[in-house]
Amino acid sequence: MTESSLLDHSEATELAGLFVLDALEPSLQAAVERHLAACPDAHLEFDELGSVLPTLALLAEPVEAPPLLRTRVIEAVLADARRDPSRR
Amino acid sequence: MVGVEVTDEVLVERVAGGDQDALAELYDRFQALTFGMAVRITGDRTVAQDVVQETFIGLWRASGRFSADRATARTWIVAICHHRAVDAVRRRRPVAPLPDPELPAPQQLVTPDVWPEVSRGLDAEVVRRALAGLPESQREAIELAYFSGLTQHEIAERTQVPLGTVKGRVRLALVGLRRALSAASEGAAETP
Repeated sequence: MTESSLLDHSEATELAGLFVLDALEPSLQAAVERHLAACPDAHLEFDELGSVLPTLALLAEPVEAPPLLRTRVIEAVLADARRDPSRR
Repeated sequence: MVGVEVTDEVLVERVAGGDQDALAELYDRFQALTFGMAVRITGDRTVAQDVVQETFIGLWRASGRFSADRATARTWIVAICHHRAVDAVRRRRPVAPLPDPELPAPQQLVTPDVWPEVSRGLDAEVVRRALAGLPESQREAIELAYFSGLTQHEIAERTQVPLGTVKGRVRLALVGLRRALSAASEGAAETP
Protein backbone atom coordinates (compact mmCIF):
# COMPACT_ATOMS: atom_id res chain seq x y z
CA MET A 1 0.00 0.00 0.00
CA THR A 2 1.34 3.42 -0.86
CA GLU A 3 0.13 6.45 1.00
CA SER A 4 -1.65 7.87 -2.03
CA SER A 5 -3.37 4.63 -3.00
CA LEU A 6 -6.99 3.83 -2.31
CA LEU A 7 -7.48 2.35 1.13
CA ASP A 8 -9.78 -0.57 1.72
CA HIS A 9 -12.30 -0.46 4.54
CA SER A 10 -10.15 -2.14 7.19
CA GLU A 11 -7.07 -0.08 6.30
CA ALA A 12 -9.05 3.12 6.62
CA THR A 13 -10.69 2.01 9.88
CA GLU A 14 -7.31 1.18 11.39
CA LEU A 15 -6.31 4.80 10.84
CA ALA A 16 -9.48 6.23 12.41
CA GLY A 17 -7.82 7.39 15.65
CA LEU A 18 -4.94 9.13 13.93
CA PHE A 19 -7.33 10.56 11.36
CA VAL A 20 -9.70 12.20 13.83
CA LEU A 21 -6.69 13.65 15.66
CA ASP A 22 -5.42 15.13 12.39
CA ALA A 23 -2.17 13.23 12.98
CA LEU A 24 -1.77 11.59 9.57
CA GLU A 25 0.50 12.97 6.90
CA PRO A 26 -1.51 15.00 4.34
CA SER A 27 -1.41 12.34 1.60
CA LEU A 28 -2.66 9.64 3.97
CA GLN A 29 -5.23 11.99 5.50
CA ALA A 30 -6.51 12.63 1.96
CA ALA A 31 -6.56 8.89 1.22
CA VAL A 32 -8.79 8.29 4.26
CA GLU A 33 -11.05 11.15 3.20
CA ARG A 34 -11.37 9.61 -0.26
CA HIS A 35 -12.27 6.28 1.31
CA LEU A 36 -14.93 7.88 3.54
CA ALA A 37 -16.41 9.70 0.57
CA ALA A 38 -16.53 6.58 -1.61
CA CYS A 39 -17.24 3.69 0.77
CA PRO A 40 -20.92 2.95 1.38
CA ASP A 41 -20.24 1.03 4.62
CA ALA A 42 -20.78 2.60 8.04
CA HIS A 43 -17.77 4.18 9.71
CA LEU A 44 -18.80 4.12 13.35
CA GLU A 45 -15.19 3.89 14.54
CA PHE A 46 -14.52 7.39 13.23
CA ASP A 47 -17.52 8.85 15.01
CA GLU A 48 -16.84 6.96 18.23
CA LEU A 49 -13.18 7.87 18.50
CA GLY A 50 -13.82 11.38 17.23
CA SER A 51 -16.46 12.01 19.86
CA VAL A 52 -13.68 12.43 22.41
CA LEU A 53 -12.10 15.39 20.63
CA PRO A 54 -14.49 18.17 21.70
CA THR A 55 -13.74 17.28 25.31
CA LEU A 56 -9.96 17.50 24.78
CA ALA A 57 -10.47 21.12 23.81
CA LEU A 58 -11.65 21.74 27.38
CA LEU A 59 -8.06 21.20 28.51
CA ALA A 60 -6.86 24.34 26.78
CA GLU A 61 -7.47 27.26 29.12
CA PRO A 62 -9.46 30.05 27.43
CA VAL A 63 -7.25 33.10 26.91
CA GLU A 64 -8.69 36.54 26.13
CA ALA A 65 -7.49 37.54 22.68
CA PRO A 66 -5.90 40.99 22.29
CA PRO A 67 -8.74 43.52 21.81
CA LEU A 68 -7.39 44.68 18.42
CA LEU A 69 -7.74 41.17 17.01
CA ARG A 70 -11.53 41.55 16.82
CA THR A 71 -11.42 44.29 14.18
CA ARG A 72 -8.60 42.55 12.33
CA VAL A 73 -10.48 39.25 12.10
CA ILE A 74 -13.76 40.80 11.01
CA GLU A 75 -12.01 42.93 8.37
CA ALA A 76 -10.10 39.88 7.12
CA VAL A 77 -13.31 37.89 6.78
CA LEU A 78 -15.02 40.71 4.90
CA ALA A 79 -12.00 41.12 2.61
CA ASP A 80 -12.15 37.38 1.93
CA ALA A 81 -15.86 37.67 1.18
CA ARG A 82 -15.17 40.51 -1.28
CA ARG A 83 -12.62 38.34 -3.08
CA ASP A 84 -15.18 35.57 -3.33
CA PRO A 85 -18.58 37.24 -3.65
CA SER A 86 -20.23 33.91 -4.40
CA ARG A 87 -19.94 33.16 -0.67
CA ARG A 88 -22.29 36.00 0.26
CA MET B 1 -27.47 43.67 17.97
CA VAL B 2 -27.92 39.96 18.41
CA GLY B 3 -30.01 38.87 21.38
CA VAL B 4 -28.26 36.84 24.06
CA GLU B 5 -30.79 34.04 23.73
CA VAL B 6 -29.76 33.24 20.15
CA THR B 7 -27.96 29.90 20.04
CA ASP B 8 -24.51 29.45 18.53
CA GLU B 9 -26.06 27.24 15.86
CA VAL B 10 -28.52 29.92 14.77
CA LEU B 11 -25.65 32.41 14.59
CA VAL B 12 -23.75 30.07 12.25
CA GLU B 13 -26.86 29.83 10.05
CA ARG B 14 -27.04 33.62 9.96
CA VAL B 15 -23.36 33.81 9.05
CA ALA B 16 -24.12 31.46 6.16
CA GLY B 17 -26.63 34.05 5.01
CA GLY B 18 -23.93 36.73 5.07
CA ASP B 19 -24.85 38.30 8.43
CA GLN B 20 -21.82 40.22 9.68
CA ASP B 21 -23.34 40.99 13.08
CA ALA B 22 -23.77 37.26 13.66
CA LEU B 23 -20.12 36.77 12.78
CA ALA B 24 -19.09 39.45 15.29
CA GLU B 25 -21.26 37.81 17.95
CA LEU B 26 -19.69 34.40 17.28
CA TYR B 27 -16.28 36.01 17.52
CA ASP B 28 -17.16 37.48 20.91
CA ARG B 29 -18.42 34.12 22.15
CA PHE B 30 -15.50 32.04 20.87
CA GLN B 31 -12.46 34.34 20.79
CA ALA B 32 -11.16 33.23 24.20
CA LEU B 33 -11.72 29.54 23.46
CA THR B 34 -10.08 29.64 20.03
CA PHE B 35 -7.24 31.93 21.11
CA GLY B 36 -6.58 29.73 24.15
CA MET B 37 -6.45 26.61 22.00
CA ALA B 38 -4.24 28.31 19.44
CA VAL B 39 -1.83 29.56 22.12
CA ARG B 40 -1.68 26.11 23.69
CA ILE B 41 -1.00 24.36 20.38
CA THR B 42 1.33 26.88 18.72
CA GLY B 43 2.97 28.19 21.90
CA ASP B 44 3.13 31.63 20.28
CA ARG B 45 0.63 34.46 20.80
CA THR B 46 1.42 36.07 17.45
CA VAL B 47 0.93 32.88 15.48
CA ALA B 48 -2.16 32.18 17.59
CA GLN B 49 -3.73 35.45 16.41
CA ASP B 50 -3.22 34.33 12.80
CA VAL B 51 -4.84 30.99 13.71
CA VAL B 52 -7.90 32.74 15.15
CA GLN B 53 -8.16 34.85 12.00
CA GLU B 54 -7.92 31.76 9.77
CA THR B 55 -10.47 29.99 11.96
CA PHE B 56 -13.06 32.69 11.42
CA ILE B 57 -12.34 32.93 7.69
CA GLY B 58 -12.80 29.15 7.56
CA LEU B 59 -16.00 29.44 9.57
CA TRP B 60 -17.35 32.11 7.21
CA ARG B 61 -16.51 30.07 4.12
CA ALA B 62 -17.83 26.75 5.42
CA SER B 63 -20.87 28.07 7.31
CA GLY B 64 -23.20 26.98 4.50
CA ARG B 65 -22.15 23.39 5.05
CA PHE B 66 -22.58 23.43 8.83
CA SER B 67 -25.13 20.90 10.00
CA ALA B 68 -26.56 21.40 13.47
CA ASP B 69 -27.93 17.86 13.29
CA ARG B 70 -24.42 16.49 13.26
CA ALA B 71 -22.49 18.64 15.70
CA THR B 72 -22.83 21.68 17.92
CA ALA B 73 -21.38 24.93 16.63
CA ARG B 74 -18.83 24.73 19.44
CA THR B 75 -17.59 21.34 18.30
CA TRP B 76 -17.45 22.55 14.72
CA ILE B 77 -15.54 25.74 15.55
CA VAL B 78 -13.12 23.85 17.81
CA ALA B 79 -12.43 21.41 14.95
CA ILE B 80 -11.69 24.23 12.51
CA CYS B 81 -9.46 25.96 15.05
CA HIS B 82 -7.57 22.76 15.88
CA HIS B 83 -6.98 22.07 12.19
CA ARG B 84 -5.69 25.62 11.62
CA ALA B 85 -3.45 25.52 14.68
CA VAL B 86 -1.93 22.19 13.64
CA ASP B 87 -1.34 23.58 10.14
CA ALA B 88 0.41 26.59 11.66
CA VAL B 89 2.67 24.37 13.76
CA ARG B 90 3.55 22.25 10.73
CA ARG B 91 4.22 25.28 8.54
CA ARG B 92 6.91 26.25 11.01
CA ARG B 93 8.58 22.86 10.86
CA PRO B 94 7.68 21.50 7.43
CA VAL B 95 8.29 17.79 7.04
CA ALA B 96 5.77 16.96 4.34
CA PRO B 97 3.69 18.70 1.68
CA LEU B 98 1.06 20.78 3.41
CA PRO B 99 -2.60 21.06 2.52
CA ASP B 100 -3.75 24.33 1.01
CA PRO B 101 -4.07 26.62 4.02
CA GLU B 102 -6.96 28.41 2.32
CA LEU B 103 -9.16 25.36 2.38
CA PRO B 104 -11.55 24.93 5.29
CA ALA B 105 -11.23 21.95 7.57
CA PRO B 106 -12.48 18.88 5.76
CA GLN B 107 -15.97 17.94 6.84
CA GLN B 108 -14.87 14.49 7.89
CA LEU B 109 -12.68 16.02 10.58
CA VAL B 110 -15.71 17.48 12.26
CA THR B 111 -16.81 14.47 14.17
CA PRO B 112 -20.36 14.39 15.41
CA ASP B 113 -21.36 15.03 18.97
CA VAL B 114 -22.22 11.50 19.94
CA TRP B 115 -22.87 12.81 23.39
CA PRO B 116 -23.01 16.61 23.15
CA GLU B 117 -24.12 16.67 26.77
CA VAL B 118 -20.69 15.36 27.63
CA SER B 119 -18.78 18.24 26.12
CA ARG B 120 -21.29 20.66 27.55
CA GLY B 121 -21.65 19.11 30.96
CA LEU B 122 -18.15 17.96 31.75
CA ASP B 123 -15.64 20.39 33.06
CA ALA B 124 -11.96 20.41 32.34
CA GLU B 125 -11.17 18.69 35.62
CA VAL B 126 -13.15 15.59 34.64
CA VAL B 127 -11.36 15.42 31.29
CA ARG B 128 -8.01 15.96 33.01
CA ARG B 129 -8.76 13.07 35.37
CA ALA B 130 -9.81 10.85 32.47
CA LEU B 131 -6.56 11.65 30.67
CA ALA B 132 -4.54 11.09 33.83
CA GLY B 133 -6.17 7.68 34.17
CA LEU B 134 -4.59 6.49 30.92
CA PRO B 135 -1.27 4.66 30.79
CA GLU B 136 1.55 7.18 30.41
CA SER B 137 2.44 6.06 26.87
CA GLN B 138 -1.16 6.54 25.66
CA ARG B 139 -1.50 9.93 27.33
CA GLU B 140 1.73 11.05 25.74
CA ALA B 141 0.59 9.93 22.27
CA ILE B 142 -2.68 11.89 22.57
CA GLU B 143 -0.97 15.00 23.87
CA LEU B 144 1.68 14.94 21.15
CA ALA B 145 -0.98 14.56 18.47
CA TYR B 146 -3.67 16.90 19.74
CA PHE B 147 -1.72 19.61 21.53
CA SER B 148 1.64 19.51 19.76
CA GLY B 149 0.31 18.86 16.27
CA LEU B 150 2.70 15.99 15.63
CA THR B 151 2.00 13.47 12.88
CA GLN B 152 2.17 9.72 13.47
CA HIS B 153 5.72 9.61 12.05
CA GLU B 154 6.83 12.46 14.30
CA ILE B 155 5.27 10.81 17.35
CA ALA B 156 7.01 7.54 16.48
CA GLU B 157 10.32 9.35 16.15
CA ARG B 158 9.85 11.36 19.34
CA THR B 159 8.81 8.38 21.44
CA GLN B 160 11.09 5.92 19.64
CA VAL B 161 8.46 3.29 18.93
CA PRO B 162 7.26 1.77 15.63
CA LEU B 163 4.41 3.41 13.71
CA GLY B 164 2.10 0.50 14.47
CA THR B 165 2.61 1.11 18.19
CA VAL B 166 1.69 4.78 17.79
CA LYS B 167 -1.45 3.78 15.93
CA GLY B 168 -2.38 1.32 18.68
CA ARG B 169 -1.67 3.74 21.52
CA VAL B 170 -3.73 6.51 19.96
CA ARG B 171 -6.65 4.18 19.39
CA LEU B 172 -6.51 2.72 22.90
CA ALA B 173 -6.22 6.18 24.38
CA LEU B 174 -9.30 7.44 22.56
CA VAL B 175 -11.26 4.31 23.50
CA GLY B 176 -10.14 4.67 27.12
CA LEU B 177 -11.03 8.35 27.25
CA ARG B 178 -14.42 7.69 25.71
CA ARG B 179 -15.13 5.02 28.31
CA ALA B 180 -13.99 7.19 31.22
CA LEU B 181 -15.93 10.22 30.01
CA SER B 182 -19.07 8.17 29.40
CA ALA B 183 -18.84 6.85 32.97
CA ALA B 184 -18.31 10.35 34.33
CA SER B 185 -21.20 11.63 32.24
CA GLU B 186 -23.51 8.92 33.54
CA GLY B 187 -22.37 9.63 37.08
CA ALA B 188 -23.08 13.33 36.58
CA ALA B 189 -26.54 12.53 35.20
CA GLU B 190 -27.38 10.56 38.33
CA THR B 191 -26.36 13.46 40.56
CA PRO B 192 -29.26 15.89 40.99
